[in-house]
Amino acid sequence: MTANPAATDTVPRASTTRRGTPAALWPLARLEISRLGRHPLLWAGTALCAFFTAMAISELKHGPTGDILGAPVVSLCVGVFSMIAAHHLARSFHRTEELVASAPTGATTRGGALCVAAVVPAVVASTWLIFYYSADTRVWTVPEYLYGTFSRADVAAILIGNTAVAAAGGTLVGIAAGRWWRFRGASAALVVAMVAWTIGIIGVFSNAETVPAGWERWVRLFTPVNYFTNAATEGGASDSMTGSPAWYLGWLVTLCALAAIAALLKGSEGAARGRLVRLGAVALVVSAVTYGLAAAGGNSQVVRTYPDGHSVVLRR
Amino acid sequence: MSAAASRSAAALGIPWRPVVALTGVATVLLVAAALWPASAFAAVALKLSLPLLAGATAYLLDEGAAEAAAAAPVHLRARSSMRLAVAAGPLLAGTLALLALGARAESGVVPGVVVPLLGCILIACGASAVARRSVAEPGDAVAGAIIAAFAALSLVNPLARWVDLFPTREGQRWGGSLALWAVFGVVSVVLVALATRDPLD
Repeated sequence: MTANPAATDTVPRASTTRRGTPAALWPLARLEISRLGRHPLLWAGTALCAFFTAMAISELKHGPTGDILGAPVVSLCVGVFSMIAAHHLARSFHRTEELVASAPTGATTRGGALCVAAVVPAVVASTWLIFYYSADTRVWTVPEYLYGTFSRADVAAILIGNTAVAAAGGTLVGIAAGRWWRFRGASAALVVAMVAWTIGIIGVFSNAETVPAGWERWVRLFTPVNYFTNAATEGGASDSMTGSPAWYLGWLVTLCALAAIAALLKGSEGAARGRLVRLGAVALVVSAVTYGLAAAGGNSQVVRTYPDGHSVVLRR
Repeated sequence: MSAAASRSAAALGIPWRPVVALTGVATVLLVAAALWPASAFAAVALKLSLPLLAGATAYLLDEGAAEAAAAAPVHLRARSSMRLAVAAGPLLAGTLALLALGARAESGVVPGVVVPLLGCILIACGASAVARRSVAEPGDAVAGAIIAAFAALSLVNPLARWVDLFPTREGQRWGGSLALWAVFGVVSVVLVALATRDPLD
């Protein structure tokens, strides 16, 4: 057993592996992965995602639209539903807190095990991504102009951000909220907060007619899911929105890190807490920098690409 | 136990805080939308408020003392009916706010929006009643799932080719929408009836 003057008064620490991670982390993580993998809400979200995807494919066969599969279907279904499931798993410890506290496993280790379970929705989302890339050009064909000014790498960054990263991030946010919030209705409040944040920013700041152009560019990406092309324009043209998809993906990853750190901070003590606070500060700085680069990079103006291939910059 | 006494006993068991909070937030959003009907915010508020009102009703069947209540001489269906009658509150608040929005909006938000609202509320009641069979307090999970699902549906609108799920203005495909919500409503009422049968009936 490792000596730790800051924490040994009350709870003895569990043994650690050679890499410094508690030995109980991986067995607990396997348990949490199994619990989340069997949660009905995760499967409800996956079923909804499959339904939305089937409808989108049907729509694509009817008439090609570039953004329908790039739309945040996976994050809205798998991501949000796994967030609620993870929230309930994290809250399931609340009623047995005294019993859990007497176990020789620290709160940080238990939180870490829960965070590892975020791999389950990430795998579900990645399966969707594999399906997308294997079906693209075989099941449907999207005309090149609908991708606007974005390269294949940009499209991949958008898709990865809206699928695997958003699904893992939603789960981590659910765990963090489940560990910190104890009030009844927290689950609904969490969904409302996430949906209001996303719809509110996109609805208000993606419309250059209602906000100044500078605001649109600097604020519109400040959401956990977003879109970079909009094919719902006159004459079937496709609008390429402002911002850099690659840096936006980087920013999403920092949000995941911040959510995981917030989850681990609950109940942490001693040196572990200090490390987490320092990590959180670094993650916040990196997050601010990547957001700045995401908003400043890429297109500085919206570019409209027409079916014949020519593009015009929409000056607003 | 008299009807009034059992009604008040049931009322005491309802988790009022999330019910009132979600109803209040939805009503405030709709009132704000009515104050600024031409803004981008009004469209966002309209999309959000229906799922919120449905989420509020998802808590009505939460029964923390389910085991004790099961031993009382009041049938599960009677207890559930008394609790579900409270759904008239979110429905009324939402209807009044939607009518206010309809009166203020120049582009004509029609009173028919109340039909999707009623459909959402009935679906929330049905889902809660089904989940209540296995969990005493399904409200939190059902409310979260209902809000997420309806928000996703209103954002992505996967059935756009066939029907407008949440029509708000004149000239949209109201016929199909009203028929779809009527089917959802009937199915939900049947689900509530089946799920609130007493185990020994």
